[in-house]
Amino acid sequence: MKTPSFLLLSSLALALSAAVADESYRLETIAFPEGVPPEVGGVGFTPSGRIVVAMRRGDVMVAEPVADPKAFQWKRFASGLHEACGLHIVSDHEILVSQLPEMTRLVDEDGDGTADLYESVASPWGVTGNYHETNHLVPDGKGGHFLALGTASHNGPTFYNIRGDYSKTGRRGRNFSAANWKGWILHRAADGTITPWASGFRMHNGLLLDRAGHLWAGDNQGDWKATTPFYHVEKGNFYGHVGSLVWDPEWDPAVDPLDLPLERIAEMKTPAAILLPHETMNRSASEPIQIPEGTVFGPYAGQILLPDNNGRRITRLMLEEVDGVHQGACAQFYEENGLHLGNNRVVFSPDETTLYVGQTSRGWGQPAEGLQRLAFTGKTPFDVKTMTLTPRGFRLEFTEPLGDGGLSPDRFQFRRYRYEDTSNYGGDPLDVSDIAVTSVKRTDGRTVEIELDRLDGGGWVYEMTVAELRSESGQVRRTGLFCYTVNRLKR
Amino acid sequence: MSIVRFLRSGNRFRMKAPLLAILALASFASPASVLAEDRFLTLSNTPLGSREEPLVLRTFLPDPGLGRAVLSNHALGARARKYAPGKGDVEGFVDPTPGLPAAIAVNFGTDLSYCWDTVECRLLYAWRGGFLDMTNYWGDPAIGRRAGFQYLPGLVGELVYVTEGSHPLGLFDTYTEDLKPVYLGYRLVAGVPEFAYRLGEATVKVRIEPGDKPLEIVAHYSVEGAKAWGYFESGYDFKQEDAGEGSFRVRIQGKPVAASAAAEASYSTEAPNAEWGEALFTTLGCFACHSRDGTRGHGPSLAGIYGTSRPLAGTDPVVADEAYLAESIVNPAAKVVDTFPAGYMPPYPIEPKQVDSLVLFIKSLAKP
Repeated sequence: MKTPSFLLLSSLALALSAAVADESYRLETIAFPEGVPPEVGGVGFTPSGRIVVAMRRGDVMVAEPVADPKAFQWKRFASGLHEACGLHIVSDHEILVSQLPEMTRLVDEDGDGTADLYESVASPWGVTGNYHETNHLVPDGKGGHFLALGTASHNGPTFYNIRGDYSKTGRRGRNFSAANWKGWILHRAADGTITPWASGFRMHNGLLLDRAGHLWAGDNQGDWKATTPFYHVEKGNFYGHVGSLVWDPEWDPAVDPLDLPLERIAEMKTPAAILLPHETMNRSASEPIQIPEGTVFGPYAGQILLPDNNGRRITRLMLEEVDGVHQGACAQFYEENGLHLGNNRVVFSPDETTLYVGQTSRGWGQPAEGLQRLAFTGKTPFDVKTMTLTPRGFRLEFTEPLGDGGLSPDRFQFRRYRYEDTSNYGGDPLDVSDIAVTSVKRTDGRTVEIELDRLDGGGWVYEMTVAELRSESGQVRRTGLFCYTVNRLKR
Repeated sequence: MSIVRFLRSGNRFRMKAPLLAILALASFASPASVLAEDRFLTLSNTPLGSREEPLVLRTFLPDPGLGRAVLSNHALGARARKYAPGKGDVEGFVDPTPGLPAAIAVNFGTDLSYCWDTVECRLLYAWRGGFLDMTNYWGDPAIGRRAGFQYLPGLVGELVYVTEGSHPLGLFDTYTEDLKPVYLGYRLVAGVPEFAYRLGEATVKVRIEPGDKPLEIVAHYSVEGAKAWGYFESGYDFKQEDAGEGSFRVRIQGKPVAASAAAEASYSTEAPNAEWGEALFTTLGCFACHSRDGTRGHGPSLAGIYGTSRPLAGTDPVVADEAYLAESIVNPAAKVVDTFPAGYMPPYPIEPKQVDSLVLFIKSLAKP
């Protein structure tokens, strides 16, 4: 499907999206004791400000963050966990962790700094013996939790004897839901009640409950996910990966979801709020995180960062609600410049100045591991802060006043494409076409309104390439590539 | 040191990597601890604890042919058609592999390691000589990724205990056939996990550690909420000692467990055949209850059973033909031989070709 011109544009876009040497964010790599592979399955902070790292081999380590990234004094808080990939730090003595087979409460009962109690809090899901069935959890703000349960991969086995329930129909597929609740988000209330919340996920490797109370999840490109999606998650919705449907209590067991017509699946599923074009934006979404209020972490307060588990990048998401539907744009926030592959889990330091990024992809992708931290240097980058939809095009708000130089329409190039989710692994952009810019006008010092020749809803991705604009103070724009997913048009 | 041959999938290709890994370790494993300072897990794929500082590791674990009588609270996976994205079902099948999805391994150095399961809530097996080779799961440190399809650690050393049959601890006033144990977690007591589970109204805690004698396994039990209980180990010498107030100790004398000859079997899965049936007999753990040499077990021996008349409780005898044998695998409750307990054997919803292979294997067994 790729045309030569598309390839050319792709590589151009890639070149434009690569960040230049970064004056606004400082990256450091945190050291671990000799011989310890930092395969980070979870990161968090205790109320007293100590960082907690869950390693996929089984250890949970804590340290007081210090200025020297090589001088963290790591202590073992717990060990022996199986692929611990979700952390909720309750106190200095208590941590809730989601490991592959179980949600576990770790408690340091005698105050010696290491957990004595490993209480099984919940394990309502099945375990087949497949390496891909890792999970994540976030607190629901009311004493309960949301749990994201990944599907199994055909690159790994399932066992003769499994925990939970087995579905022969669910076992079919490239990624599959052979055991209960794989591909689902479950809600566990404070009283322990389990409620199936939403289905249709492939590998929703990370959940976020934002400050407004919205639940978000990314997913990984693959079967039934033509490109990496970012979802606004609501109870009862289905998000497109069909195998999980066999665990819906309402599902007719005689129907194999893989045999459903594509049109039927399209009717059933809730579209992504944002589609992230493969590789140029993100390859494997992991844990989303919301940027703190104020300017403590730069000019992007309230926006969401989405790390890439299979790329050296963290993507920035600019969301808005249009006609009752969540949608928005994505752009690179930090790319290359020393950032490792395998970006998996993120947490802000308690003072909100520093983003800690835990990395691992052993067994999932190219080898990568580590813990890095990214701090705002105080120098505000010149960048498109928000890209929002207008009835005829888009409004760009910049972080700094624009310079006088050329705001001619050719400074903004647009094209659009769409994706079709099928049982194939990933999918190319379809119906790629250039879209003419009909007008560009500055509405105030920081805002530009762009009108396009053609604007349609229904999931079209509008890709904008911004020329090397300068700010009033002479800074070159930080980011050049933006992709807005138009689900609904603005009236 | 003898080599544990426990991966009895019967599939040579899949067995090769773990066996080689174990062979290598048998030659080079050192009893010295390989944990970093402060006992962090390191890049070493053969972590080892000690008697003083046991190592607990939750991971996928090998199944040494435990069988459905032991794993009765697990669901049974099934063979699946091969599937290709965009094409759908394609030629060939994918069989499940043997393994334990939710067990916990505990190591005391080279003296003793064991596998305790959170689904069955019992000690499943124990071994000595080393702990686990995690290479298949954690990958080769040199390249940083997993090495094989199995993702299954290998056992390092020699099996000295493998459980059989129903749970060794029976709680008489709460126990019913369909009561499932509920795992509650564990507490570390001087580094040793004290597992807790609930069975009906009762709560059981058990802490297992090496005894003073070679290969001795000591399990410290305490039971709350049950008035009476009984403990029984089949196949191992054991001694029960009262420790007062609902507590007791069981001393199990471990012994080297013979490797199964079936481990080396190789067979085709194109059409039903007796070799495949023999592998299934091991993989599914049928041997735990059905002997092939005439010895009485939890279920009838299969030695020379084909074509014989089977006495049934309260009705006319039937001849053990192909149809009877197949029915007894798929739906064991349909006809139960007199003097054997009804409802003991779970149904095995396996593929027709697998049933036929088991029948062919049973037919091949001579009278003792």
